[in-house]
Amino acid sequence: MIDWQALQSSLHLLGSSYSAWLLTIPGIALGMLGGAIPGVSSALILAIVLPATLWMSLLSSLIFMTAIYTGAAFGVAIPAILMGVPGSPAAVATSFDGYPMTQRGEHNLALGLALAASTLGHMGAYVILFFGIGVISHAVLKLGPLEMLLLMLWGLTLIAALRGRYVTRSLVSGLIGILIATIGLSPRDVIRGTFDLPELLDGVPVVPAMIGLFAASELFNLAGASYLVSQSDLRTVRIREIARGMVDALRHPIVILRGLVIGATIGGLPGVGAAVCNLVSYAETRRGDKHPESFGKGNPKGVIAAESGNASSEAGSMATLLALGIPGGASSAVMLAALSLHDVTSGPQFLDTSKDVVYAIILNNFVQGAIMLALGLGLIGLMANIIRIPVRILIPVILVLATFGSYGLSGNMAGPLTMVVFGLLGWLMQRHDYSVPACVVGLILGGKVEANLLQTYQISGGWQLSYFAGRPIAMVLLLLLLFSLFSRPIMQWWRRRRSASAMAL
Amino acid sequence: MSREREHVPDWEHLLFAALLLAFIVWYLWTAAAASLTFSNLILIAPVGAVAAGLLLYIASVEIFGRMPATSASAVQADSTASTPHGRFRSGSLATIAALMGLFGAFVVTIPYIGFDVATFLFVGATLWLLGERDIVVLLSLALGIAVALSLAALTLLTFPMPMAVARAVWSSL
Amino acid sequence: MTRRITSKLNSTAEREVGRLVARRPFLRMLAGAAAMGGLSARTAAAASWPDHPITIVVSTNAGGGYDTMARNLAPALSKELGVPVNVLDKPGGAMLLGTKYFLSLPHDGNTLLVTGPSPYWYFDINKFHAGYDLKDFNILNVQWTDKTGVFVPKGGRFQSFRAILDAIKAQPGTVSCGVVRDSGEFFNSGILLKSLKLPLTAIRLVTYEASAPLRTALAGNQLDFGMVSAEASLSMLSLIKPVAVFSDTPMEVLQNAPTVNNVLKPDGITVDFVPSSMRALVTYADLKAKYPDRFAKLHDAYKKIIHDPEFIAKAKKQAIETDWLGEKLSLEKIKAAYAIFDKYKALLSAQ
Repeated sequence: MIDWQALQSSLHLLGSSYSAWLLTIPGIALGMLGGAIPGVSSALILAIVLPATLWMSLLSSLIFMTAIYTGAAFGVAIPAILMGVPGSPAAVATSFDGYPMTQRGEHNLALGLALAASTLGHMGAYVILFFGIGVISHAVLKLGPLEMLLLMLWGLTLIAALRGRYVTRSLVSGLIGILIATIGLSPRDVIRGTFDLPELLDGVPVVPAMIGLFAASELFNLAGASYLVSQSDLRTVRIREIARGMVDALRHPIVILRGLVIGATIGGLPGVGAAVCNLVSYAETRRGDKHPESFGKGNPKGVIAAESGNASSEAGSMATLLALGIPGGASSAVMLAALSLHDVTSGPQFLDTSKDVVYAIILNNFVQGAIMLALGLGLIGLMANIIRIPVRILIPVILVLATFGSYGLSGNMAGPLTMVVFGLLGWLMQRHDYSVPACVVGLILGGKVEANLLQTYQISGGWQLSYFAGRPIAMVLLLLLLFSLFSRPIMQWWRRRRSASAMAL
Repeated sequence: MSREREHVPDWEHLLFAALLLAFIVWYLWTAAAASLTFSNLILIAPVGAVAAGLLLYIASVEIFGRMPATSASAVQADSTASTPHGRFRSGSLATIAALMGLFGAFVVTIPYIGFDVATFLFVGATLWLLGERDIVVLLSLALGIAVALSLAALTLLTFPMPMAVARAVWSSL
Repeated sequence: MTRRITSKLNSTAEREVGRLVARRPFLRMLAGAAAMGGLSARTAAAASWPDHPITIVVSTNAGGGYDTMARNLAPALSKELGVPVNVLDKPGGAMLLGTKYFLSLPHDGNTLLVTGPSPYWYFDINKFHAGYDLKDFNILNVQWTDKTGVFVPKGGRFQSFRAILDAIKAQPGTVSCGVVRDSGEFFNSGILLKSLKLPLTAIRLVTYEASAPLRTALAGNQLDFGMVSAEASLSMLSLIKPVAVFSDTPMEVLQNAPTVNNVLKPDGITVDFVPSSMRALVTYADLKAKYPDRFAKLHDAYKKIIHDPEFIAKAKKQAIETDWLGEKLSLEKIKAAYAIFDKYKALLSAQ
């Protein structure tokens, strides 16, 4: 599985390429800082630095870009935890438990947990990549629309898990999120619901919509508060507590491992990015836990699961990018452009001809993990001071920053306007107990569910059973889906029956 | 086993639910009008139908209250009636509405008065709304943020952000 | 009517942005050796236009064929014209947003567009009501015309185009075919079936949003065959096999797979077909009239580059084509493609 010769040559490459190492630290710092600004995603940062990579060697530019990606994967967790506003969709699930922890004054702990989980998830996934890049990329090829559909449905079942007080209202949220996700061009080119605006042809922009939904719920509602943490004595930044959080994360190795595996495997699937991995890892951890009702109220495991999931998805998407030349999302598309800037045609033969470069990237990313711990600690120490800033200053600043970020990616006012509309919607939803996270899940997954559903219909010739019979992987996925949905209720029902029959005796 | 108090329908909620329902109906209508085919409606028709059905159920519960049979949900319904909107912290509805209005105005006016001027006005107005009364702090924060972000937009972004004065100022430096 | 800041400041705005791009902190930080010739600051001797950076707008996203073509052209153009040339990706709505954005900028020669007049503009104009038309533009040159290739997975059910055709006729509705929606291939598949006098349901047409997922599906043996742009699929040749090409002559890079019409000869049928993607460098229709000298400069610089053997060799390394058709021939070819689209317009609303 390991190509020893390529490994040797990669060590040689890394040893002689000083610029690659010099760029790693600024890359991580840039990613973290950028990610911490809600609305500024790693794709935006990568797009900004793309022209600069012209001056760098191939290895340096890829290392610089993955460093940014790595830094951003953690950076987005910072506002998610401190303000309940995820820096990007990749930290949606992090905010579910991270923000309640901040409200209790446990922000230092939460940040430490997130940093450790992010680092461990990231490094662990790259270990998997190191040994299994060939296996992962071949597995990705084996997944057809039916398998992808089942995976997406698995993600959608999250909506049921994310309910607020009312199951019905959360379901409505999720379903409306799915509907909104289908606005624009359908997979068969029917224009739906765009009000004749060409800007909506590609659908509602997800990042501004999500920022609007979350920012509104929290920022508008904070209008009367003075500070994010109401008790003044808890309003401190304590490095010691942050470090304790980091150590605490190690007490939940299974949670980290679960997130790691999820990100490394499905993170590479085109269209499945950090956002989906973040949510799925959270949902699975919650489902398998003895006290699922404690999630969403400040359970540390929630933060760990979410961060481990999203950090490890980078390795997954690098697998498909390097081994197959397929970009998984906006960020890897920019990396693909960087590859072509250096006259590299990516594709399966890249792995064969430039394995040493691939190994060098993987090895560098191990080190990136260690660097991130150090930089992250420093950055958290700095940024956690946000909680000492009065809310009346935070609100306008965050709103303006988010507007800046959502304009930057699309270059027109569609982003900021979407943010305003969804801000209003999110506030109304929160007011009447319609789960906002459920809507976001629907929004993120809706389009892909439809595309895969339609393709499954097309490829099976209109639901011909013969197609389904010949797909063992799909059967396995279906069983897994049913198991994770129903295993818990069935166990509970079984236990109740046994105790009932025991009592009857 | 009946409810302890008279169920009062939450009209705001009903209005919101009606809005959502209207969206679903409108969306399905225009999508079907664009193309009444299986491939077009395969997902949105069932999803829309279920969502609409749920909304009707929710609306009826809101109007008529829950049946006494389900005790658990009766408790929930009671607590709904007693604490209608206790979700947000301490801001009054007026403040929140004003904040939303300011933000909307900010975004909408960017192409007309420029990002730089709009940011300055928005930050200043919001600070005032949220209680900042120290004029020096208010003006310096508003100016500082407007300058910093305009600078970032001019130097980093690949798309030209509409500006009123920042661009001219920057190029003359 | 309110005057938007953008329209008032656009000409100065673009100039300022351009100057600032040259001064971006990142470029300064990392520009050790400005070895990429031509990307240095303005030449001292520039007495006339161009006197500030030029932007090439690409109406699709980073990493694709159009983007690659633009980024490959930029340094050479920069060297010829003596100013920095930047590439700006503006994807969205099947090239619609990028094209509209291009049109909204000042028509002064400082912006160029790389886009796909065929097939994308056809869809934009006829299906999405783009509001623009061919006559709003001047197509300098269609540099890279891609052809539709018919591919099968290695180790798939069928290994030749003849086998596919026979299976479609013998068991209609059992053979799956992948195409990208909004593409020349989408049309070509319909035209093929119509010419064979088969209903459109004879194949299981599976539509994909872009060519990358389609190629992935083929590589993973999810489909029986696929029709996708030939040259963009070259990187996958270890996993997929070309069995035919919609072209007048076989292509060497596609292992000389037979042309579709060649395979159909025994049946006595010849099919129409459209090219897969026509990637063109475009400017404004009114540029020639408003600024004839600028137009001439752009046109001649570009023409010179396209004929430069060094440039051709460099482009070839990235599998980028360097055809020179010129304005007239380019427009003719595009209109010819549109004529075929028009002929089979009914396919646009087909299931």
